[in-house]
Amino acid sequence: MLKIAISSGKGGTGKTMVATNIAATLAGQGQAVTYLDCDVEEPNGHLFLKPRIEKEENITILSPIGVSDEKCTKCGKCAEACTYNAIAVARGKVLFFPELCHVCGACEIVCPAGAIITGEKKIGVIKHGKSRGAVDFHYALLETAEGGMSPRLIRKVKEFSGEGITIYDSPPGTACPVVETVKNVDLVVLVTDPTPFGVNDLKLAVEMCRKIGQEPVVLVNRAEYLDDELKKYCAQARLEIIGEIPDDRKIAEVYSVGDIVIDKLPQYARLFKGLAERILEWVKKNKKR
Amino acid sequence: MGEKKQKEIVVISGKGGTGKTSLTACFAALAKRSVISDLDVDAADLHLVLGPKIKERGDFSGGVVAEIDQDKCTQCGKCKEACHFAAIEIKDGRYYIDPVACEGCGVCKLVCKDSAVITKPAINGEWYVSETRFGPMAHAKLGIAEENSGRLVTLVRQKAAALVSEGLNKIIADGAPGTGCPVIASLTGVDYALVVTEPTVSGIHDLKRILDVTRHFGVKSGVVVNKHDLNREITEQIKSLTGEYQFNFLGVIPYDKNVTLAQMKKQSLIEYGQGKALENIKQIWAKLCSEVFGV
Repeated sequence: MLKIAISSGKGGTGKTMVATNIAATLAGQGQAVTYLDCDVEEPNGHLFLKPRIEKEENITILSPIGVSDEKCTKCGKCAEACTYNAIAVARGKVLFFPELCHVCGACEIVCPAGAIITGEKKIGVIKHGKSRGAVDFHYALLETAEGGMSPRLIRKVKEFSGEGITIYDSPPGTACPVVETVKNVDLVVLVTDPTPFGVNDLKLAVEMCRKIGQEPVVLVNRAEYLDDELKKYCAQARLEIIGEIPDDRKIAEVYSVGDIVIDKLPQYARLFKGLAERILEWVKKNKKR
Repeated sequence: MGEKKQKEIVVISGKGGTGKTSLTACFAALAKRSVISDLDVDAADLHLVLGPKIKERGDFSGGVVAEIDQDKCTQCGKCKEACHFAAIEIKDGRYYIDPVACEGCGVCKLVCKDSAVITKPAINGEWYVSETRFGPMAHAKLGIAEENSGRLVTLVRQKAAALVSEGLNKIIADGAPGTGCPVIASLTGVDYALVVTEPTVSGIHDLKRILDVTRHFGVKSGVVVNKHDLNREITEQIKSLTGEYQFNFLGVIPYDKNVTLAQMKKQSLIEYGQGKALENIKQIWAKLCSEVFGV
């Protein structure tokens, strides 16, 4: 079992392009690959690997869905206990904001009148399929306006980790959805571009990884260096740059229509093969530690 | 509370990396003087261009940190049962709280019969009120691997609203990617959401999802396609999609390396003053002004 997360601080650095091409490369070599799209807010991997969907399931959780007017005594204990400002008592009325609720259960525990109404709430859907004959593909779509439920849905997606190589296509940033994705994997690959925004967000992502005990490696996309900030930072932070993908408009064009780079631009097949090898070497190195 | 005086625009994208921050910086420059806020609290970049001078700062606490007092804990397991975030671990028969998985809700303390859960307010980040060359700015930094970014966004918006004054009533906000908590917190009650996308299959897919969210919250929205020359066919599809949502298509921006060059000089493209994207961005700003401010 080898678990590889492809993540980034900044959005749009090429996570999905890298993850899909690595998956296609490994599958082409006959490896058992599982692709888990953990960017449940904006999943894109399926647009490229085009899995044939075999099964779909709604993900629901037992959640507060309202407050019983009859039972509620307007004591305000629920509002006091709620960390997320999802429930408020004002002018003798109790207001519930489901989109802010993180379903922690505090309101139900503290309500002396048993007035919190719970029910199954849909937080998203998970789709399962196969791609390129060899890739087990799973992705989820977070329900509209269920923002707070991202980590919960990601946890569900991660239940489908495979026995062979599992690739986790991560959301961008450094907040809880990313933490949920990259924790307990064997290697985090941080994709960055060498722009000032890219370098700034890479630093944040590296700090996040290290805080949770992950030692990431860096992959530079659109590697046209207009200054040496990225290389300086990586050297100083003792970060390994495991590869570079050139700033080639042809890659952007292939990506724009939903194609896999190694299929349409065979000149890059070797580059991704090399990247896949290096990633696996690092996974093995990390596992030994 | 009187009638709301300010007009608040938030720039969001669904998909990351479509140019939100570069465009927000241009708007700040074109507005000459406005209240600026950076709501992308977990990967903030706008300060790299605007170089804010911090005038005021404060800690943000979005919950509690919980710890188990091993002397009091009787290993009853109630906390583990009650925790919805799978944050309670058992090691060698003892219960521990994983600070990273913990979302600071405090439920463990509510259910513990032995008063063994100690909670204290968590410091989840820091907020700032600053001055920039284009007006005052509210921004923040979410602590590393911290939670409750939605509430930090709400706090930054409150700080920005407090900076509004007579003659300074435009708020221009840089939002976060995705459709999650921080995005929702940045959308509720704003006057306009400007959605920046790119003409790729990912761009259009993610646009649809974020427009579902803005529509859900009844936020008037407009769409801009960045790097439209990468794929003109998908740009056309985005135009019709925007129409289906009955939102406004505000224009396109060509791919322009000067955007990165300006970024390296810590300038907005407007100040940098060259590049083929410049004219398009000015036109988009003019349209946005007539949509939102009626000027």
